[in-house]
Amino acid sequence: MIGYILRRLVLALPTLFLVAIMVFFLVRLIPGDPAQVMLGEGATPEAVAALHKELGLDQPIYTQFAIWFGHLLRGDLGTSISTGEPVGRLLIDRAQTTGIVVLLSVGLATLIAIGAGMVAAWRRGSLLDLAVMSGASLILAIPSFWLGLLLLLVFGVWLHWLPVVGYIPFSEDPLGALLFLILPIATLTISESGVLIRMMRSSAIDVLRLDFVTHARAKGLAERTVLMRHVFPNAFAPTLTLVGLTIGRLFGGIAVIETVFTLPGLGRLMVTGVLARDYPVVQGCLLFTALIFVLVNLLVDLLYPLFDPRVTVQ
Amino acid sequence: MRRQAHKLLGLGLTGLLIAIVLIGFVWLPYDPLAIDLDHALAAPSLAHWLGTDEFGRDVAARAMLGARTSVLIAVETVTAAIVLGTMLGLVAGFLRGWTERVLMTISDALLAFPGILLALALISVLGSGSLSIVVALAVAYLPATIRIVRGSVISIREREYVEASRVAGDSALYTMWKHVLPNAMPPILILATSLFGWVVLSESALSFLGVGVPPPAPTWGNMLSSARPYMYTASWLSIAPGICIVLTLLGINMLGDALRDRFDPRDNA
Amino acid sequence: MRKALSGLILIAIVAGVCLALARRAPPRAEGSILRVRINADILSSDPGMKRDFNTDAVLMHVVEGLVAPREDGTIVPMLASGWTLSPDKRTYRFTLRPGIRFHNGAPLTSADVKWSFDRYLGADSHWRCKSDLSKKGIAAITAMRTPDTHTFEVELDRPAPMFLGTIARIDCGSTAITHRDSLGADGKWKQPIGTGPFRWDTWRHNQYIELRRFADYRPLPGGTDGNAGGKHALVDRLRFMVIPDSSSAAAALLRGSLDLVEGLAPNELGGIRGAKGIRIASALSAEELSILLQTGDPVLRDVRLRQALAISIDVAAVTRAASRGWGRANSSPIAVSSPYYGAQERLLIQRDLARARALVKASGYKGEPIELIASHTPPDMYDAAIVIQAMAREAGINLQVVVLDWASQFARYSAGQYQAMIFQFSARLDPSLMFGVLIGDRATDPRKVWNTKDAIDLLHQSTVLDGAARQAVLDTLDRDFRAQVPAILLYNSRRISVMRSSVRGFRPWQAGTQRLWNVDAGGAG
Repeated sequence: MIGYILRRLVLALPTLFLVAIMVFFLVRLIPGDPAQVMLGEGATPEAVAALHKELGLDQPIYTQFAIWFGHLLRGDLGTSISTGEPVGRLLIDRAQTTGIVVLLSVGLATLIAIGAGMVAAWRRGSLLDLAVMSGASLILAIPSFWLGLLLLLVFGVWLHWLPVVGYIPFSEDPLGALLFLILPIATLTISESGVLIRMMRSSAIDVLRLDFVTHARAKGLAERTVLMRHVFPNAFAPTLTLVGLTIGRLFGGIAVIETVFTLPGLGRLMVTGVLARDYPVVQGCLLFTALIFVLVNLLVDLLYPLFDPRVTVQ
Repeated sequence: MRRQAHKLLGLGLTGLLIAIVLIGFVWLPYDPLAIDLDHALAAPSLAHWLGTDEFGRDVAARAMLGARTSVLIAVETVTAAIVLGTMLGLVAGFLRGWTERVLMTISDALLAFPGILLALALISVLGSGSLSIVVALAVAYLPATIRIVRGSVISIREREYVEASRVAGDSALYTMWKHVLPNAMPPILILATSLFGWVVLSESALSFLGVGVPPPAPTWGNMLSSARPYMYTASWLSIAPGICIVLTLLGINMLGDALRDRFDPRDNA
Repeated sequence: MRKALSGLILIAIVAGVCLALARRAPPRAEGSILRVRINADILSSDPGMKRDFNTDAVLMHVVEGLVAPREDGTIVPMLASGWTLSPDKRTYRFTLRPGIRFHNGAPLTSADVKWSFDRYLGADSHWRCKSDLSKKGIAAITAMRTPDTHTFEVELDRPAPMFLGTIARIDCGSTAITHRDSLGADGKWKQPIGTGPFRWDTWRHNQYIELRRFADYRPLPGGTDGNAGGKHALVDRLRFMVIPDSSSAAAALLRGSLDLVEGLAPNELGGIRGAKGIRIASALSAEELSILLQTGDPVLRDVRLRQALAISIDVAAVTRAASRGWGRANSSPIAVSSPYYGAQERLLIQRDLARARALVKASGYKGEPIELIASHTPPDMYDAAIVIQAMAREAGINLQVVVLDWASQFARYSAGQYQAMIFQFSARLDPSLMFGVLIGDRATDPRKVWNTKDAIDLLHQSTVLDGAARQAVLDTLDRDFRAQVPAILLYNSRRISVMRSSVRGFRPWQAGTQRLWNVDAGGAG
């Protein structure tokens, strides 16, 4: 088991290395000079050149890469060009916010998907099934940020139930912070449940057709037991894979939700980093999300055998 | 029977979309680029069915023109991603070994890339315009396509007719083309419809973030984005393009479902 | 199912307990506090060195220079009580005000002034005005003397009427006089120890900067007057909160967790405008929105085409649309709020479609697409671009709007790689500075759009003249500007500030920096 985990991590290294190279060069390909952006309009060329020197941007690009990579191997992600803060610390702060939103949302969406998907598969062809499928289809068609804007409009402006925008750091006031997170989490939960419901329902239907289910029923087991102890574990595997992919994707791709709800998360950090040409931040963000991707998928693969006994961890 | 309803609804909505796009080529209620500052931010009325935006431009006309742009971008992106992804997925799944390892590593690395970074980089190289968006989105969805095709091919290659073909001495290329590819088509087709929906959503998200098709050309995404400051004062500006996206995706997804039903023999209960 | 349910209940209980334990009561506020907003974290606490607009605004509360600009931009004494100019106009003799102390209690002496000046002009310094006070600039400082503890003398290599204006520049940190204890033992900058009404307290990166009232501050007589005048700290603590998103800031203001939001764009006022307990104050700013034109471009080379573009635009309508009616249309590079804004500058270029079309025809323009670059920050730029494109179209000029992100646009601006570009220039209080942004040798500085020899000469003249003679030169520059059209001015923006009604004493001004002295939070802290 440990050997498997280690092997997987080692196999992931070339991917991460490739990501590191791609980000490094791609972000410098975009025109725009971080020093210029920082010093603003009216800055003298000498000031810009001086700042270049200070930031190490005057070196040839391969040297810059070597320096950055060397630091990376020692665990030093560098400092943000815009704020001077260590990138590592920035990432951890932002990842907390994003992490809370993503994990809570995907967790809730998974629970909803299991419930709705199982019930729809169990009562296939019924009105309930139709309702669940239509609901899932509708959810799949709605852009998440539009949903977020609508929820803001309804709950924030028209009903005044929830704050429209803003954020309190979790460490300062957890209860207050949660108030600001309700809408984004609700939005994301609804958005992500669509595809999870369909996946759960589809695999549950497949499993319900199998012989051993008929056997279990014939043995006289209660329907609830059949569903929860026999059907669900076997049907959950593909949904689990999807959950893993979703978590990995959301960590990097949540920028739009964070923009709508003005949350200081990873997604927005990357977007503002790109717009400010804050190279160390962009590089750090991308490596971090790639790492999360690898780790989450590894976790999913480890959990897989729990749900699908035919699968072994090779 | 319920399935019939779904299929009809899907066809109906998709047909409506195509109709609107085609009509848009010959007739639009107003010039979508014409500015009329005296009638800016007008609520929906008989004169302007969906109201006007902050420059007085007719929202309905812009939505129709936006349909054309969004659909074009989606079609181009899906074609590129599917064609390239199928080729690479075929090769990876069929040849396996080191080829597969290398391709999947590159594919995974691409997966970590957020669309906005790619889009910004491409715009700087290719200039701003739909081409950059198409390339950026095609690259963004390539890894998923490769993965899915590869997964399909891996199981197909174990089937007897493929083995027979190889034993008979056919070249790998011939086998892939004649035997594997046709059998992999159903999931690819279904993937294409899902992709279409994702691309429309992604394009609107990119426009929302400010990286999109250049103005004054409307896309549903940039209409949503510019509607944001007026959310409370002129909410129709954000509702119209949103509903367009929802209806389009509903239609496409339902069509995809109908396709899946047709191709999956087990699913006939 | 039952197990899952009980599991969930257990998790909920544990979570609840954790939250209850983790929640701490907010720290007790001591004294009164004024909470204001900046839209990005400051770059450094070292005045004039590594700075941007927000950095300047915050630091002006902590440090002061020898002289400072008044509300209309004219220069008056600050730390100096006065000065004399030698007959050859090259030596300035400043007398320091008595009894001024630094935040660490040390008295202000001329040695401190010289130390600060040496630091700004040092070889390794990144001081923004360093090149202005060099041979290539307005004048180089050849000597600095401290005849006694309250006299400071500066000798220049040539007469320079703009010298005082230069050292008063807010973007140069107002050449603030800081104490050498601002540096640590290693010689690196620690934090500013200045003479301002507030002292530096805390800087929590990306969250807020907090300043505290300096009890021993000796204000000048009078009230708020530009960066000069009597500056009284009416609150014990001043907190600049970093809130990048404007709607967040507006929401925080409405909720009561902010007292003042300065510098909102007109289209960000949506939800606040009629709200209860909220007041809006505004002032015309010296910021200018303009269209820069590349006169060397093959298509734009013909001046008739540029003139056609200028008169195809209804400047008043563009102003109304882009600034939502808040800005003031202006065809002159000299700001409306400047004392040099005279009869010539007041002339507004009127739209004349017929003449525009005729000029287009005469220039031989065949409808080639002309790229007009704009970005979404600030939002006016984009709106202006759309409207201008439509207006130019009616005259037969084919403008293609290209929207870039700010960094890309700025790169193109700095390299001169554009045909036409909408650009917003930050506030400059001196008209020569404003013209100076446009005029120069394009070969050495691609940012300059106007590079005729006459313009460069006139600009130079404007920096060495004074009074009516200077106004005449500026008027000539303005006339030539409109004839040669290297750029088209659109309007001066307005600084809009929104605050809680309990906030008293706040006034925005043309330089844009928010001034929180003489401002009271009204007990709502």
